Amino acid sequence: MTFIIRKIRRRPNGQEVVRDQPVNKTELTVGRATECDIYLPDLTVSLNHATIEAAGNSIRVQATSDRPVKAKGKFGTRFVFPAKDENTIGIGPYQIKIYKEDDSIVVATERTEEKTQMLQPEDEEKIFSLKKAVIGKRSHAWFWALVTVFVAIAAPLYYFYSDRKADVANPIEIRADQELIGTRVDQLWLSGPMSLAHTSLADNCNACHLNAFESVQDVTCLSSGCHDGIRNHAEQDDLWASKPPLSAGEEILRSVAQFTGKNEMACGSCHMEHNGREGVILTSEGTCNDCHADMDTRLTDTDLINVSHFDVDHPNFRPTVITEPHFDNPVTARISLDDNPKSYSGLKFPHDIHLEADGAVAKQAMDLADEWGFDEVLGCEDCHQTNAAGALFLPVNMEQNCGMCHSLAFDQDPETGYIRTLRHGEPQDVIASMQDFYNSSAARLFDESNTGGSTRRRPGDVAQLREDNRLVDSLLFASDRARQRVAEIFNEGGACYDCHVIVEPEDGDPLKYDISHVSLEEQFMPKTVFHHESHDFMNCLDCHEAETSDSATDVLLPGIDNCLDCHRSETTVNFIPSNCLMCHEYHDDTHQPFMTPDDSSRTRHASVWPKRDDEISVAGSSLPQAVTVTAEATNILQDQ
Amino acid sequence: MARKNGNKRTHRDDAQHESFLRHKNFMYLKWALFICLISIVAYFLIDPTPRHNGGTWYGYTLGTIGALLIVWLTMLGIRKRAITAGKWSLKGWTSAHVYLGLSLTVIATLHTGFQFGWNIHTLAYALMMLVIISGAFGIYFYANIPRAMSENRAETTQAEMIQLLNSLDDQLEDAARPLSAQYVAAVQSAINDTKITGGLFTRLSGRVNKCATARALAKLRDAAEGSGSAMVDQYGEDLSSAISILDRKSVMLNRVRRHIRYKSLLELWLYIHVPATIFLLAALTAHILSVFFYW
Repeated sequence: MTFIIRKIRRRPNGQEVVRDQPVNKTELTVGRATECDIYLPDLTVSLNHATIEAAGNSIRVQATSDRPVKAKGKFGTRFVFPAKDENTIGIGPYQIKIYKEDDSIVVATERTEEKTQMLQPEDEEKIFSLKKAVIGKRSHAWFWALVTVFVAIAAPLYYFYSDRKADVANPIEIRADQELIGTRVDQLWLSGPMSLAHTSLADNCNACHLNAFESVQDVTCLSSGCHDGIRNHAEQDDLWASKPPLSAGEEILRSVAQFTGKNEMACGSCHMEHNGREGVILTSEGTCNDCHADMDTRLTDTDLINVSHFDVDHPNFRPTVITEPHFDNPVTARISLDDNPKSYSGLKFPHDIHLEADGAVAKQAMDLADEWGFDEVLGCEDCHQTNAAGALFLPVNMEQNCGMCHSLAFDQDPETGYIRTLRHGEPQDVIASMQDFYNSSAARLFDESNTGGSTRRRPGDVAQLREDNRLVDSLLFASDRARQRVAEIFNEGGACYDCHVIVEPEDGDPLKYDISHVSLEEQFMPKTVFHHESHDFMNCLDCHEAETSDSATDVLLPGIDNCLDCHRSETTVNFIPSNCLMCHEYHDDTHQPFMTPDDSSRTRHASVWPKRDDEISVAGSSLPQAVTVTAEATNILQDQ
Repeated sequence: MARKNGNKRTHRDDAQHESFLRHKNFMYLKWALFICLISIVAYFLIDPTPRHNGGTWYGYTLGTIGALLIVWLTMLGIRKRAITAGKWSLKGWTSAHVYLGLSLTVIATLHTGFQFGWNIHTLAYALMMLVIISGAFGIYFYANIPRAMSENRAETTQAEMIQLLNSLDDQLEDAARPLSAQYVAAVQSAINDTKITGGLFTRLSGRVNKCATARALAKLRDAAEGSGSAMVDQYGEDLSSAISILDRKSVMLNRVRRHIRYKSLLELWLYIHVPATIFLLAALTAHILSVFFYW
């Protein structure tokens, strides 16, 4: 029996190329080794993979390595076929057909599984480009753009219009509901943190922004129970006139603002929100200097003095002093401390004597120390009391602040010890009371001067009365006594004279004595509030030169140099940085003439800015407030 | 060929090629620096109330310039698809794109007034910076990688690299035929299981862990150098032939992977630059809308 080893190859056009090689053996070796009879050059084939043996009428295929042979659809190590049939085995990518042809057994080998190369030319892009390794550019771009459109555009718009629909009229109410919801996606539109005072509005854009593409309107701030009654700094026209010329950039912004209907003098143009938690109140000196540094060049009819910095360009203080006291209408003037102003209160009060350490006042203070709690000498606080806020001092009150030492007692009942005291503040009442007192004593004199026939007289006043004209004498005596005592209290050494300027009676009648007008300044600086309580670590006398003041006309207000010992402009390093708002208020609503937007018809805010209902207009006076203050002080005096 | 001679390269650049960075003697760089300088000086000279931010007149001015610049810079994506020469050549446009784009870092930062928060406004700013930074990486890679890339591939094209690898596999298969089963398995693994590259990070690293080729090489080398001398005698020549081919394949693979690394670096920044730009345009729209909506 001979084998014919038949090698079949196919050309690309499918045509078979067959090459036969007869081998005179009974067993053929099959494998990758070159010495094998059937040489199968593929790495999936073992070196000596199998043997094919012709044994009589059968063909035996035996695997000779650890790799199997495939036949009849399964892998195995040994197969026996009838030699008369055509049988097929598979080894690696080769198909081997074994069949009988004439007397020989043909072993036809053909590679049926073509070798594929690992890398295909069309894979070039896949291998070398990032395209397949990462998510594509377009899908990324579209995804994020769509997310932005929905989250950062559509959602905030939805919230704006749904809130607006809910309640435009009462936007604050919406907030209460929203707090339950928590932070919403429309917070993405917040351009910055809200100021501390407005934090609660951060969740509620509609509270202030009522309409789309419209700036916050003043009416929103000034109504709805938030800032009702706050008034503007000055007239809109004056504000504009006092502003320095706009820079080119500001002009552009202004024209844009006007074009879009944004009000450049609205609350929001100074109180800019969304700029951080520190607040919306401008405190920088620059805010004031912009206009006030050289305001007289633009606002020519102002009587305000230019100011730029507290330590460089601030005029000395100009207290409002009384130049002519009057119970109802004292005359006041605003005089710079540089001009050594005098205050005419109509009273006598030498501070130096009262503060002396070893004078009569000090001695009396020691005598009365137990009763009134004085120290060895009088202190400022013994007479001056701060108001409830602690910032300013209450007006001096005779009964409380002077009466401790300056008694108005004029008589003591010898029997009961009752001390009769004169009423303060009403000179005519005082005179009438004294007259009444001595007139009533006439009856006593009349009664006591009755000797009942005895020639003996009781000692005292009655001794002077004659028996025969007793009644008339008693009355005349009492009247003379009254006049004498009245004259005493209105003259040197008398209770009134010590403190008051006395109006002498023209005809010399003591019953016509009077005291001169009295007025007291409640506040020398009505346009500012000096906070005494924040200076309480200091001694009063550090600033107020009371120890050397021997006259009540001295204005003991310290000048600006005194403040400059500690306070300098806001940029100072070694001193206390002090900006304008430390002493002045912008929306001052207590003192005229800071706030006078009374004729607002020419401004945009005609219906917005509230008017004063307590505006006082006093002809010829630039400081009507001082008048009211002193009038109040007078009322107090008159009441007593 | 690789350019090793620095002088020669300069000469060649001057004579034949002017990069977009040096376009017209850095004209747009000068413009950009001028704009930045003006912006910074103005920022310090102008004293807005209460402070610098996007809402002052200067803030609006910078914002408008910045927004227009962003839109114009985005137009490069459209412009680059039409290559023209002359005054408004694509190269000039690209040069302006780079330098004016970089100047945005100054313009937009001053526009913010250094106020940042968790909001759409800062998101737009952050995206813009992301776009610019990715662009800066792009410039850096464009300036440095092509030369290294060219040196690495030594004028071999990508298609040739594939062919070379395939051919080495064929040679490997031939060379491995006489070898015993365990080495054949290693070689087969080198042929069938070698991963050229992988995901993003594999591409950027330029190497593949547990490379089948490297392992087959190590295994055959161990066999040749170390243990059974009998085997070396038996297969000596075939073994060293296979080792030599594996070695060549390994070198080739390294070169291919470096090439992929360079190519990835050249491409990757665009995968951030482009989507972030579109994202930015959406965020910028929201930013501008929100500002004027709540005017």
